Order: sequence, then structure tokens, then C-alpha cells
Amino acid sequence: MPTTTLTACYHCGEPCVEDHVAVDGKDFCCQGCKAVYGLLRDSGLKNYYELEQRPGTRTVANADEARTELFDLPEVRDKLVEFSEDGITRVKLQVPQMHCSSCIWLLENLERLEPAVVRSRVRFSEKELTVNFREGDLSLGRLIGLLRNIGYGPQLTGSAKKKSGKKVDRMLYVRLGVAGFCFGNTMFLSFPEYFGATLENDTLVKGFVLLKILLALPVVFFAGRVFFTSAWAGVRSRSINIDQPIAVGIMALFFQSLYEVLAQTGPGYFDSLAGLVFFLLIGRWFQDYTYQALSFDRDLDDFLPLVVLRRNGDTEEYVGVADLNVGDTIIVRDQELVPVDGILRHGTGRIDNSFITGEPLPVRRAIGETIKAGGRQRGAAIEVEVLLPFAKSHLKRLWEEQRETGDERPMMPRTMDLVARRFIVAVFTIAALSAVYWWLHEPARAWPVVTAVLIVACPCALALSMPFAYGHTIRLLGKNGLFLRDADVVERMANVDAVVFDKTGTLTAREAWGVRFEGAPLSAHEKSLVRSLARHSTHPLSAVLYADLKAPLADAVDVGETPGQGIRGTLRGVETSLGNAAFSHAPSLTTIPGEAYVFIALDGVYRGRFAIRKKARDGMAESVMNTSKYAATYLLTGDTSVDADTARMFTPGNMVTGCTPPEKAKFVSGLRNAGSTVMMVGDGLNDAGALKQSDVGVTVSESSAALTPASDAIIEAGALHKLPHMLRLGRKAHRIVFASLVLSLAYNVVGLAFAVSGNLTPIIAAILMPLSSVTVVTFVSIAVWGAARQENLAK
Amino acid sequence: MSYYGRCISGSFAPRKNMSVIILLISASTLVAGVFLFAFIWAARTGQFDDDRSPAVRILNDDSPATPSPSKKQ
Repeated sequence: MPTTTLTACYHCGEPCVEDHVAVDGKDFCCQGCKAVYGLLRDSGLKNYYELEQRPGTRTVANADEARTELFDLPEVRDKLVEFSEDGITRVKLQVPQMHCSSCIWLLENLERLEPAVVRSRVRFSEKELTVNFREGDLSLGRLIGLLRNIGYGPQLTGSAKKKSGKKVDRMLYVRLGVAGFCFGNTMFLSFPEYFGATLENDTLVKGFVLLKILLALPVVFFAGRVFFTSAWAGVRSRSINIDQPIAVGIMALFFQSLYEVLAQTGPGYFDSLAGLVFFLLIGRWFQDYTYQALSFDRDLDDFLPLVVLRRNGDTEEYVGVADLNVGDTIIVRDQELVPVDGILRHGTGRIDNSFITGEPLPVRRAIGETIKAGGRQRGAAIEVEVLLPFAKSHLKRLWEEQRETGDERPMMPRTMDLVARRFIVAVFTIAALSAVYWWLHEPARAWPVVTAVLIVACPCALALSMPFAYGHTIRLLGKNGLFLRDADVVERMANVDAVVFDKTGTLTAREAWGVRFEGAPLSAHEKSLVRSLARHSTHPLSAVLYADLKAPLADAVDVGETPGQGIRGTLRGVETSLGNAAFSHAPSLTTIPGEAYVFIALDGVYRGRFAIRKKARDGMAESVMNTSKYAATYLLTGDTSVDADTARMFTPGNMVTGCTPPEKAKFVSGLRNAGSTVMMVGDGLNDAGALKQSDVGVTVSESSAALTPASDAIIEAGALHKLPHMLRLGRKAHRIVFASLVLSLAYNVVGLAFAVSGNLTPIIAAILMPLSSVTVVTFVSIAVWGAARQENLAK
Repeated sequence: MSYYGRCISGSFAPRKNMSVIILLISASTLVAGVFLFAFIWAARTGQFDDDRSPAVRILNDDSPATPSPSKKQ
């Protein structure tokens, strides 16, 4: 039996299955990828594939994308363009798809693809592309179209706001540089002590001491200021955080060293001081560095279309949604969003509300019926008379509702801060005890011992272990398609013991359908008839059939579609009907909930029916079963029923159907009140409230241009099947942090042994501090990488 | 001659004039300080914000002023 190995697409790396096409000896998974390759090859841009392997992404046609013509309208263009002068226009676009060197290279070489581009520049950390182009030769719409064609369509929101994400604070770099500078030079000046030699030249000694003090000042008062600010903030809000013992340690080091050198009783600990601040700042930098450049927050404006087409007498004009008046007639075309509550005046409404309610199939609306804002028209264009202004629309109410749902969840205290609490208590106890001991035995040593305890108890390694452990975890998860808002999310993820799934759009893909034929199998000829007729129908189910049946097309004559019933035509002499049971003369048959049926009749005789349902994503069943080993799994859906395949993934009592958005949110907070740590996985506006209530809210994103509600994490649709592995990685990271805490504490204990016995010389401190930091960071990094390999997430 | 003899005999007799070391250290600290300020200036003007693009940018071969070559048929 020949085994088939899957070839990977040369462009995007996805496996080539159905639409496999080969060109120039290279394999591509679809026409889209092949088209991009051809475009780049013909423009002399093959270097794109040289810099990184398989750098592209499979472009999925996204219904949420605004048409490119819209960007040529002055109202829209003016919002996006930065300035225009001497024929050169500059525009800044968000392109979240860029993820590698090839992306940067291609985006900065756009002028080779399109000569009207004068210059294009990328800011990778913000995923921002700035293009200078000659607008006379290339309109903004065509530029955006070009970017979409090569797989880098910009992300644009309804308000066309440019979002700038947080980036590593520049001052942090400055502080790091200053701390490093002082660290190196102070160590250099401490060489005599390291080698045990004592300087006998008094002026030289004074000179060195002066220099060391001068170097220590910027360390304490500039570079180290962040710790004091944070510690003080904790004191004012009466909470304990890890920066408080750090601040105490810094001050102990500084003042003890000052005292020692001025009283000439020792060389001081300036080198340890500078080293401490330097290493801790590295930890902070790493934490910020692993931040993702995605935007996790959402505005209501994000869900609105840029402009709406309004009928004005005989003409049509584009206006902003906020400018619509009651009584206006707007035109909503295929795949477009209905932005306001209105009455259908013309056309057949087939409104897809899956984003708002979770019902997967479009709802039919007839002339005179109301249509609520937020649904999407799937079918020919309709005309809607505006009933309520946007501010009073259903969509806005829904948004406000989920914004007010419950209180903001109380922040789980970070493990580090919990540890800090115990740590501080322990340190002060030990300091007090040793002070008492020495006061009784040798009073002169009491104070030096206390300061030594405070010095060595400074939790340098402790404070480094978490940023590095969680930083690595965030980076690894990002490479696997799960993007977290910040390090605290990893911690909450590790404690998750209940996972709630939404159905439509989360477990099932937006556009993936499973088609089954009931009846005697169709011949190739019959399939051809059905497919050719389906092509003429605007019904969404016909589109599904058209895509699913693989058969050559034939011409159809006398095609007539009866809305609500079916479509009939004559193809190759055979009268073919597609429609509901009555239309195709079908007997009454059992229906399974969750399925839609298209009945076929040939020459007036019932032939069979297609059962169409939303297909669950590949690997979801296994993924949910796997997840249920570590956490209770639940299914909440706005749909009225759950099909058998999906139902099998969950325990019967854990599924709720017909859930409205507030009910979803209440379910999640109910679980939390019962003590669970809840992760919610959803994708639509109907999940927004529940996502906010959960401890970890994860939205499923099909493409970077698609809109998702606000959340703590975003997971790529293709990565959902890895969810159980990712949860396990989070738990392992948590355990690694615990192990590194133990390791750090071991160092502290050793140091304390020296301190309490009065033997903490500057040399020992100088060795202990960097040694503990480096070993803990190395241990944590290797351990996280090892855990990732175990979970098959290492890349 | 006596200068070398003193060194060879291995004694660590303190030398009276060590001021040259102070000069050396001051000079080197000054030079290092110049580099530190250069670093601070670079960080504050945002040169370290994007660490990925510059690495790739050097691979571009054409200067942007020249018109791009005609497309292949």
C-alpha cells in the first residue's frame, strides 16, 4: 500500500492536499499561494523565499474585509493618509502578518513590485508599515489591494485609528546601559580586592574609592529608581510586592558600603550593588521584550464598516455610520455588515447572526420585517430603511451590556508577590534574631551582621526567575499560534481547571461545511447537473454545494429561483430542482438537529437530499478530549441544538444550548464563584461578556484581518488543536518557576549562613550574587525549552 | 640599572610616583563615558526600538533613487 507523505507548500508551509498545484518544480497548497509566488518571481523578488523558508501565509478570503474601492473615497482615504505633498502620499498601515525577515524584506522592496511606490519602511516591533507613493499613479485602494494580494493586507478598523502598542520603554535601555557601564567599571576598580592585594598608596586608595562612589550614585538614583518607585507604590496601596525587598537590599548595600569606605573598615560592596541592579534590569527588559505587538483591546468602532452606502434620491453616496438619519435607506451588499436596526425594504434578507448570537445558519427576513444591527447579509444586496440611529441600535446595546457585565474580575495576586510577603517576613525575623544574638555576644558586630543579612537576602535570583520563565513561555506559545497579553496570563493559565468552549466559529470553522448525500449515490453526470444549477442560486447552501461537489459545469436554461422554496432549471435536457422538501417532491424524512437539507429532484422525481452541517475543525474532538483530562470542559452555544459529533466531545451535563450573551457570562462567573479558574474560548461578540468574566479569555482568530472581541489571549484558528499541549506547557512553566524559587532560596540560605555568622565579605557577596542569577536564569531557560520539546511545541 | 634590579629581585617596595595610574584611569573612564553617552543618545532617539528590521535592511541592494528595472516578460 503506497504511503502518501504530505508535501508542504513552498509559499506558506501548509500541507498540500486538495488543490495541490505545482509550478517550476515547487509545490503549492492552493492557487492563492501559487499566485503570490508567480507575482514575486516575475518581479524579481524571489529573495523572499531565500531569507526564510515558507515565509508566506495562506490567504483566506475574508468577508470582513472592506472592498478596496472604498479606500479611494475621500472620506476614508483622508482618515488613513498621513500627509500628501508634491504628489507623494504617505500612509501608515498596521500589518500584523509580518513575522520574519522575509516579510520585512518584501515589504521594504515594494517599489520593485509596483513602481509607483517610492519608499516603504517597516517598524517590526510595532508591525507598522509606512509607504510613500505617488498617488497619481497608484490609488490608496490599489495599494491596499496589492498588499492583500501578497498576503499582507493591512488591519483596518472602522474608526481607522492607528493603534500603537506598548513597546520596551526607551528609558529602560538607558538605565540598563548606565547600570552595565557602572557595573563593569566598578568591578574593574575592585580588582585589587579580588586578588587579595592591598593598595598602600593612600591617594590611589582614595581615588579608587571616590570613583566607586561616583559610579554607584547613578546606579542607585537613576538606574535603580524603578525599584524604589514600585516599592513605594506598594507601600502606599498597602500591598507587598517583590520590589520592596529589592529596594531594601539596594539601600543596605549602598549605605553599608559608604560607611565602610568612609570609616576605612573595608572596601565596600559597590560591585555587588551595580551587578544587582544590572541583572534585575535585564529581567525587566526581558519581560517587556517578549510582549506581543498585537492589540488585545477593542472599541465598538472596530466592528463597524468604514462607510455605508446610502441611497439619496437617484444617486448613492457613502457616509459614515454615525451620520445616518432615521428614515434613510442604506444598501447592504453581499457579505456586508448591517450597521443599524432597520426595516427591510427591498431584496431577500439572509442575515448571518453567528457573530452576535452563535446561530450558524442565516436567518431569512422578508420585506417589512426588522433587521437588527450586527448581522451580516449573505446573499444579493438588500435595501434597509434606518429605524434607529446607531447610538440606539441593538449592537450598541449589546456592547454596553457586555461592558457592564459583572465587576471587573479581581486580579489574582501574582505568585511573586505572594512569595515576597513570606520572604520579607522571614528576612526580618532572621535579621532581628541575629541582631539579638550578636548584641548579647559581641555588640560591635550586631549592626554589620544585620546589614549583611539584608544584603544577602535581596531576592535577585528570585526576581529573575519569573520574568525569564514566563518570558520564554510567552515567546514559545507565540511561535505556536497563541498570543498572550502579558506574563500574568501565563500564571493564570497554569491554574486553569475548567475550560468553556463556544461552538459556532470556535469549535466549528466559519466557512467549513460537512456535506453528506442521502439516497442512491449520484453519478458524475448527476453531480454536474446539481453543481451547475447551484451556481445560479444566491442561497448560501447552494454556495456550499457548489464548492463541495467536484464535477464539470454544464449550461443551464430556463433557470428560475423561487425565494424561500428553491431553484429549478433545465440542464442537458434534464429538469433539475434544488430546494426544500416540498419543492423537490420529497417525502417527509427525519431531520437531525443542526443540519440543513437541500432536496434534489430530477425530471420531477425526488432523487435524494444533501445534509449540510457545520464541520468541527480538524483535531478538535481529540483536542477537547485531551483537555478534559486536566480540566472540566463545557460547551456554551447560542445555537438551539448541538449535532451528534460535537455532543460526543463533552459530558452530557456540561452542554448548554440557546445561551444568550448575558447567560454565557453568568455561567462563567458561576463557575468562578464555585472556585474554579476558568478559561473561556470564544470568537464572537456573543462571547465578549463571558471572555471578560473568565480568568483567561481566549479568542479564536481565523485571520489577522478578522475581528475578535477583547481578550487576554488570541489563538490562531489553526492552532486550536494544540490547546491541551499549551495548557500543559503553562503548568510546567509554573512548576519550573517553583523549582527555580527553591534554587534561589538555596542560594539565599547559603548567603544567610555567611551573613549571620558575620563572615559575609565583599568578595563572597560579589561571587554569590552573579552566580545565583546566572545559574537560575540558565536553569529556567533550559527547563522551559525542555518542557516545550516534551509538548512538541519547541520551534 | 638599579631600576631593573629592583624589579628582578621581586620586592614590592612601594613606588612614590603612581600618579600615572590616576591619569590612565581618568582617561579611560572619560573615553568609556563618551561611548556611554553615545549609547544613551542612540537609545533616546529610538535607534534600539526595532531590532529586527535593520538586520534585514542591509540585504537590500538597489539604492531607492534609481528607477526599478523593467519587469521581465
